[in-house]
This record gives sequence, C-alpha cells and structure tokens, in this order.
Amino acid sequence: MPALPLLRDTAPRREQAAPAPELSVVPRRRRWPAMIAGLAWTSVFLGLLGAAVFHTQLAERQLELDRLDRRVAAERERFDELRYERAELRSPVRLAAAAGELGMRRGRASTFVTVAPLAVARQLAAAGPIGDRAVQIVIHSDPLDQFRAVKSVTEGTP
Amino acid sequence: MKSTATRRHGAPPERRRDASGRTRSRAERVTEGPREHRRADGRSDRRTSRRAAATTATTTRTRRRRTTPHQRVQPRTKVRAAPPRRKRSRLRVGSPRQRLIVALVVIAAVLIGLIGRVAYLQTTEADTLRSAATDQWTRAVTIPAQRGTVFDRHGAELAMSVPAVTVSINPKLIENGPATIQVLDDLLDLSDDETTSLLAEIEAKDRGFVFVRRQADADIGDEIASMRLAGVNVDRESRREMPGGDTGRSVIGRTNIDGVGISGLELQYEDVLAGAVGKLRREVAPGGRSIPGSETVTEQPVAGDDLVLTLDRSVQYSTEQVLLEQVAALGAKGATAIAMDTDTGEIYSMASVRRDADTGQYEVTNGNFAAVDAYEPGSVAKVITISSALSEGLVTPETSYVVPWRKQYYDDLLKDSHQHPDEVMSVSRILTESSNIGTIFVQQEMGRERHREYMAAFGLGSKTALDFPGESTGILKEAKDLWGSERVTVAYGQGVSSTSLQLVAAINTIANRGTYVAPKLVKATVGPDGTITETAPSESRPVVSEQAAVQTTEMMRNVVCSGTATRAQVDGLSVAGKTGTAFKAADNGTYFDDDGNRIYYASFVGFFPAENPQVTVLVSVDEPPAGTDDRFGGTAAAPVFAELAPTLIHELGIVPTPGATGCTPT
Repeated sequence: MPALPLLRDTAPRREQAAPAPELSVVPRRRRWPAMIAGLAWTSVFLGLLGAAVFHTQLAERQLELDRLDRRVAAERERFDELRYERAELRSPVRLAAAAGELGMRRGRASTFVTVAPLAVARQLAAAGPIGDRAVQIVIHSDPLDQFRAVKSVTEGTP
Repeated sequence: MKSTATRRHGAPPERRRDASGRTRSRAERVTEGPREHRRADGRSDRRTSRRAAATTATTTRTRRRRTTPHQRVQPRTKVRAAPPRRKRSRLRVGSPRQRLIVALVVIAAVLIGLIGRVAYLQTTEADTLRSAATDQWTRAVTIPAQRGTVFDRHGAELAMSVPAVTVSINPKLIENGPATIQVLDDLLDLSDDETTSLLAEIEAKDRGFVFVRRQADADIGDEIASMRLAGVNVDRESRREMPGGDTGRSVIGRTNIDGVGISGLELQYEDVLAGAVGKLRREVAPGGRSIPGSETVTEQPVAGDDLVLTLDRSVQYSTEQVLLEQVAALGAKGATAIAMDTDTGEIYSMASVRRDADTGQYEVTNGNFAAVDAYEPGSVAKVITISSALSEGLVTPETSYVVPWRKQYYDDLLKDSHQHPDEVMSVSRILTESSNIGTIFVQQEMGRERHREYMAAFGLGSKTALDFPGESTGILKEAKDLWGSERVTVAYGQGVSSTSLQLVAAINTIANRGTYVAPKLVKATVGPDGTITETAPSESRPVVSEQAAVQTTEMMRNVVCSGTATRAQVDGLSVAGKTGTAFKAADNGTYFDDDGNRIYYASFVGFFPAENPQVTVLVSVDEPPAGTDDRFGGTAAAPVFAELAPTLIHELGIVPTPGATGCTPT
C-alpha cells in the first residue's frame, strides 16, 4: 500500500509529459490531393477545349485562305479576260474595220511638212501646253506595266 | 472481454479451429474438403477429391438450409453429375514444365518474328509501302502553269492565254443521256456528228471518259458546272488567243490544243513561255470519286515568262495589209516583207502572205517564209559585190568599164536586163542601171575567193542570230565548188540563195555604215515577279569600210531617184535602195514552170532617211506575173516599200531630215 502514493505522484507527471491528444473524432481529410486532381482535370479540360478551339480557328482560317485563293484566281482570270478584250479593242484589225465602216480609207500618199517653230509657239500660247492629266493617262495606260504589276503581286500563281 | 463480445453477438457457425489450433473459415474448410480423401500414400485422387468436394459443398449448403423450418421438414439435396471422363491425349508429351517451356519458346519466336517483320516494314519498306498506300487513297493532279504572254515592243498583247474549260462526260455515270446531251448541245452548239457520237458512247457505256469540247468559253463552263449534271465534268484550262487576229501569226507561230508551241516563236521559246506545272493531291473515295475539300497543292505552278518582241503591232499589221493588197493586185503567189531597225537590228515587222491553193484567197501564213524560204536574191546582191570592191579599194564610184549588153561566160551567154550598145559605164551607173555584165567586171577585179568571203561576211550562207525554227541557211557555195557560169553570176545574185531575213540584214550593213548587225526579235522577257530582263544587244561586226558604205548608199539613192526603183520614192523622204529581179528555181530544177514560162522573184530593199538611216525594209514578191512589166523588183516590190514608208515614219516617230525633199530637186 505505501506504493500507492508513489503511483499517484508519478501518474500526473506522465500525463503532463504526453503530447496533447487529437481532439477531433473524425480525422481531418487532406484536401490538397483533391485540389491537385481538380486542377489537373481543369487543365486537361481547358487544354482539350483550347485545342478544339484552336483547330476550329485553324480550319476557319484555312477556309478563309482557300476562299481568298479562289478569289485571287478568279480575279486573275477576270484580269486576263479584260486584258484580252482591251487588246482586241485596241488591235489594228478592229480599228481598221471600224474606220472602214465609217467610210475611212488608208491614204495613198503622204506629205511631210515642216512646222515652223513660230507656229508651234503661237499654238502653245493659244491652247496651252499638254496638261499633266493627259500625260498621266498616256503613261499609266501602258499595258505591259499594268501586267507586270499584277504579275509581281500574284508571284506567278495562275 | 473479447470472448464475451463474441458470445454477445453470436459466434459465427462457420469458424472452427483446426487440428493445429488455427481458426479456419467455412470457405476454407469447404475448399479443403478433398483433403479428407487423400490416399494412404499421401497422393490425392483427383476424381475422388472432386466428388468429395462437391458432396461436402452440397452438404454444407444443405446444412445451412436446415435453419429454415420449412426446409427442415423436407430437405433437398442437389446431386451433380460427375464430370465426363477425359480421354488422355496421346499428344501430351513430356512434363507440364517442358510443355510450358516449349510453348513459351514458340510464342517468343512468333513474337520475335512479328517484331522483325514490323521493323522491316517500318524501315526498309516504309517509303514504298507509304507511297503505295498514299496512291490508293489519293490522286495527283497536274495544275497547268499560266503560259507567258507575247507582247509587242509597246506592250500590246500579240498572243496570250485566256481562261477556258474542257467539258467531258463519264458515260457510266450519266443518268439521262439524251437530256444531258440536249443541254450540252444547247450550250456548246454541238454538231450533229458530235451529238450522235456522244449518244452512242452513253448507250455503250464502254468508256469512263469522253471529251465533249476542248477550250470552250469559261462562262459556258461555269454555267454547265452550276447545273451539277451527273457524269458531266468541267475542268479549267487555258486557250491561246491572238487579240490582233492574224497580225504577226507568221512570226509568233502556234500552239497545239494542249498549249504546247508547235511553230514560230511559240515553239522556239517553249521553255521560256511554258513555266513549271504544279501538283495537286486529292483524296478519293473507294469508288474513285473525289472527296470535296481534300485538295492539297503540293507544288505551286510557276507562270511562264513573257516575251516582249521587237515587233510593232501597228507596223506589222500595215506590212501585212500592204502585202496582201499588192499580191492580190498582181496575182502573185505570195510575198514577204521585213522592216528592221538600222542600228540595233530589231525587227519591227516580218510578214509572210501567200495565196491559198484551195480557196485562192490571200492570207497571212502560219509559216515564216521570210526566214525559212531561200531564193536567189538577184540584183540586190550587186550591192554586196560593189560595196566589197569599194571597201577593198579596187574600184571607186567613178571607175568605168566598157560594158556590152551581153557576153559569153563559160557555157552561157549572159545578158543585161535590156539591150544597149557597148558603152562606158561607171561603177555608180552599173549599180544604178543594174547592169549584170558590169557587175561581173567589178567582181572579177576582186576574184571569186575574195568575193565569196565578203558574201559570207554579209551573212549569206549561214543562219542569222534569230535561229528561228526551220530557218534556212541559204546556199553559198565555196568558190571552188562553183561551176560553169555560176562562177560569175553569183556577182549579181544568181547561183546563190538567201532568205529575206539574211538579205535585209546584209543590206542593212550598208545602211549601218558598213557594220553588220544581227537581226533581233526578242527585246526582253518578263519574269514571274514582273521584272523585265533585257536581252543582249545584237552582235555586230564590221564588214566594209564606212566610206564604202556611204558611197554605196549614194549609189542606192540614185537607184531610187533615177534608176530601177523610182516607184520607191516617197515625197519629202530620202530613200536609198536596190531592186532585184531574179529567176526563181522551180521544183523541176529549171527556171521555168511546167508550162515553159519563166518564174521570177522580185525584190526591193531600201532604207531611209538616206542621210541618217533608221529603218531598212525588204519586200520580196514570189512569182509575180511573168510576161508583164509587173515582174520586176521596181514594179512589183518597190511600190510596197513606198506605201509602207509613211506608216513606219508615223508609228516609229521618225523625223525626216529637215530640208530633205527626197528626189525632188530643191
């Protein structure tokens, strides 16, 4: 029996040294795996969605490119058709035929005259020089230059 | 506490302790049931064990059911039949372990073989198989390249490709043949033969592809395509057109229906004009039909380069028209004409016209006779002989000879064109009056070898730098190869032949102050990016001295003013020129046709302004009417020159020399 007090003395000391017990009855669940999983699923979902959107955009852009290509080809064809029509209209064959219908005939003789410089000066003084507009029309209607400009844009694509 | 809890909840009847004291579950005891049927030798009898196991399991289940009072009254026992007795296989050899090893080895060998085969197919045969697979589900289609345009020197289109379509049918896919052909007939204006043939093809259904129309208008093709007729295909292509009609056709040439050059410049510059075709890959369904939207351009086509010619479309047209009018008026077989820039050799016009043998109509020829047809130039060659002698210093314009109107040379009695008494003629007069005998005298001053060298230097006997398809070299024999009177007739252009192209370049040497300049037809090319690349300047070489050229020019002015070419005069313009009336060699080897009539080649070559030549023009009339005054160069060809000169002056912007009055005395 004298050992009982000793037990009484030592027991509280042991209780004081032990760590505080877990008070929660149900152990708290760790949330970070769920968060990581959710994040991963969200990333995958967004990635797949992004890929789908990207491919859709890619397809749309490709369709737009195809449409533009077709339009360029059509415009190029139209350019060639108009070029052909203009060449026909400006051809000596058509001009001669049109002139013939108007009763015009080619001259059988030519007379070369020398215009006196004074006469030229009087004419310029009376009518004025040729305006820039007329010069531009002549210069910018060069069919070869127009053709080259178009060809340089299309880079040889028919 | 533990045993108390067990009792409280009721001990599970299944749990029992085994002999070793280990607690075993009911299931364990059931599965271990056969142990009770082990033999005395310790080995189990499998059949007995199975039956025992079945019986034990049944007993156990029966025991559980006894807990139900109702079932306890009349318990049921499920009796199972013993499994069929298996016949021991004779093929079962060796122990199971050995059989397992063998099986594993076989499986491993098969797997290794499969892996090896896969590796082989994926490496060595990969490309072949991949291409074979691709060929099965794709079709490669060629994308034609845009053929280059042919421009004149001012950028006017002479020949160009315009959009067109090819309409074809697949008779096997056409659903309503007569109706389909009726629609195509309405749009394409098919002939009766074409319609009948197409209906027969549709009826027979032997072929999967039949052309309906090549190179139809693109608008019509679009209309047909929009109808979506079953079995009717519309494919885009291009069609070669000449917006100016026949203008320049002789030089430009033609392409075939596939757009490949077959004559003229179209043939010569095929590599330049054609470009590079592209490739398109298209996925096809098992039936062979194309899958819409599956087209992929694997190679982009590259448009051909464009040619910028030296030709002037207006001058070309005028030249052709004047020639057509003249040959029609004369009733000649045909004619050629060339207008050439004196300094650069650039050809402004090169025309060939001929009478159609069937219709009798005169038309611009498809062939360029000015380059491919060689003839004896006649008196035009006297310019070469006399200028050479002048350049050699052997004669001067005033050097005189007593010239008879005819003289025997070898086996021929050679004559001048008209009878005249023996008279003293200067070299200048010999050229002005075109004396054959006098020209022979001048040639004899040089000797045949030297004379031949000069003719070659003037470009006779060899192709020009144009290297036109089918271009003729003409005939210029070596001096030692000449026989009989040929030895001297070459002095006035008989016994030697040349093309109009060679001849105009030769006489242009005199206009160009004694320097030969090669003729030129292509001025520049236009690349795919629109850049212009000028062609190299024409090659040139000195042939005769400038003094000799000037002296010859003065003589040629006299030819026009007072000699044989007075009909080449142009008021207000100084012209130098020379006529030529040559006997033409017939196919029978003589200078006579089958009716015994002489046949001629009449020519005139001249340049202007004589003081500062800028253009040299040659006109040749093939077979002018024999027996009339229109057979001569001065009457058949010179008028064409006079009519063409004003057009050239106007179109080329040539300003006549101030104060020049042509042959009119001031």
